[in-house]
Amino acid sequence: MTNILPFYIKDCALATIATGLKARTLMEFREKLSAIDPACVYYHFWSPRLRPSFEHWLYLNDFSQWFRKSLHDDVLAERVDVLDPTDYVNMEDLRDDLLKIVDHRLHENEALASYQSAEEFYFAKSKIIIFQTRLRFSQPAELVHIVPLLTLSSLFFHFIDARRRTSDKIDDFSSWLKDSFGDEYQDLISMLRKKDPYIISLSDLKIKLIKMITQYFVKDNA
Amino acid sequence: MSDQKTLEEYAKVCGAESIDQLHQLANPLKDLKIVHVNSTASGGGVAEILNKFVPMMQGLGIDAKWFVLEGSPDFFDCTKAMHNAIQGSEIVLTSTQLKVYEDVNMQNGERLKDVLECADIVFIHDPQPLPLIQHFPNKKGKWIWRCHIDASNPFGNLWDYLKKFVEQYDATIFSLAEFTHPLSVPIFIIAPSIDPLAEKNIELAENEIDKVYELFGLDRARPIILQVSRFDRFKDPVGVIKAYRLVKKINTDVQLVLAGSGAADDPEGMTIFKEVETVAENDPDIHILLLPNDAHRIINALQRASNIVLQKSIREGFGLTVAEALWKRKPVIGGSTGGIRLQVINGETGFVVQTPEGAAYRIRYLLEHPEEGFQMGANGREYVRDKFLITRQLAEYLTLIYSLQCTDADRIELPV
Repeated sequence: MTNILPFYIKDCALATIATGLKARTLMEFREKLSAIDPACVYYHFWSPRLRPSFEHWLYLNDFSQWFRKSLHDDVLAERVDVLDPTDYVNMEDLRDDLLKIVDHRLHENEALASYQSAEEFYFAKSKIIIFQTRLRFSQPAELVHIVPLLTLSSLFFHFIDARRRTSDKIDDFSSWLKDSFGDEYQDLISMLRKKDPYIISLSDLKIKLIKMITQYFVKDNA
Repeated sequence: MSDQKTLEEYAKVCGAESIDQLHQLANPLKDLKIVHVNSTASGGGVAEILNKFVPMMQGLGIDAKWFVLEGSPDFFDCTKAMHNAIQGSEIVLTSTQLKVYEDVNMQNGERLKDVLECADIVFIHDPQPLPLIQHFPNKKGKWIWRCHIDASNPFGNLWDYLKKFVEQYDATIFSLAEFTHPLSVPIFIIAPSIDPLAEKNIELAENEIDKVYELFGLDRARPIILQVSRFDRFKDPVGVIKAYRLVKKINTDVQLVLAGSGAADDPEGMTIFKEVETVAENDPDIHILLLPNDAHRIINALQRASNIVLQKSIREGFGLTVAEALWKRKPVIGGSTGGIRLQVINGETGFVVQTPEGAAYRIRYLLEHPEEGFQMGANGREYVRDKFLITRQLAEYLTLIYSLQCTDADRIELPV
């Protein structure tokens, strides 16, 4: 067993920054998308997870929401909904695939190029501010008590943002379990990795994690 | 209430974790001097929020101060006209008015020189004090212009005039991306918020709510529709009366309350109030209430006594009266403009409408389906708790300060 380093729970906050770029037609959107800072792609795919919404199940990202609600093009929205940012190593590749979908749709339906949407799309990006909380733990079983205390933004940092930072594109808890305990908690790591943070809200993710971790350690102790 | 006590009280309503987050964000900022400047100490949403924002910052250990611009009646006439022109009214400011505008700012720059020159962070709120910055060529800190109003469609060349001041700042804050213009300085988006512990929003005893029926001659047995706003054309009080009359044809029981207060920087309010009185034609079921600026508990009680709250604005900065009503579990019918669209989620927290006719239809619907209105109100309460409370806004201000200190980095990790 390697050295067991404590796991320090961190939290984060996003500062949203408008770019001043906006689009009213799909053609304008395509032009702006091709040139924007890749940080905008990250923001519009992931920041909706941090916003409370009645519609998180209906619109997975800001782009598909605009395609559906303002351009009234369900075909385009459905295709973009399928794009899963967890599949991408960098945001440029995700942007390229998004552009391909938009180009394909423009080829299918030329009228969309100049259709004036009811509301403009405003490109934004964010800075993420990360700070340490007072929570820390050293033993995996402590997760039973720690996870219920996590804020949703903390969950975002350790479960979603982590996939950009860790070498295996996994959540921070799995990464820590693997580094500190080797294969001892492989089944827990597998369960954690099966959780899909993109398709469910953070509050639902938290509920599922609490249930899963509690069951795991209760069973383990039985 | 002491500053620390303030934070403990907020923890009870907003959640202890949100106060923990504020402490964690604020700890590395404790040595900073932060100053807010606006144009009025009372009346209007900006003064209301600063009245709590500053003590909360102080409670977090930050050296925060708040100063109010001193201006002549001519100055406030000018800035009110400017306020309206920024929101699209066809008003052209004369060179004489603009000279008053700049002169008053120059005088205030001299008055506040010592405190502003050495501040680490200066938040300038709205257009009234905007030109202050040009009198601080040796400023030490970062200056941020916070625009609380919808500046997306200003009339004529006004924006070109204001932009020369705006672009001297280190950053700007707008409430919505839709309100912005391309600028050479960073544009942060921070939605405003309500204060759940303010007298306007705090829980009230039933007997205090009961008193407003008697005070204003309202019949508690009949439905009450309420709009709370300044008497301002952009709030469309005449459209609200039109909607009420359409409902009244079907539901003769309905009562309408239009309640608002004047603000020290809003000399136009009385003119609009009189216009609204004329349109109401002495209808005994239309109650037009011009309330003092500090009638917060009465406004609170009126909102709680109402069945449905309207905010039928045709142009709106953000429309915090919507969040106030949702916090009190009331369904809201709002105009499809500005921040109202962020707060009124169609079918979830109320209804978004375009016209008096649309408002009338939705009022009728909610009067016939009170259980749906009840559910919308419950949804609204939780939506505001998550999204529009003062603790969230303060956290975003603190986040912005870090962003300005590390302008190149997309990720900023605070020291432990």
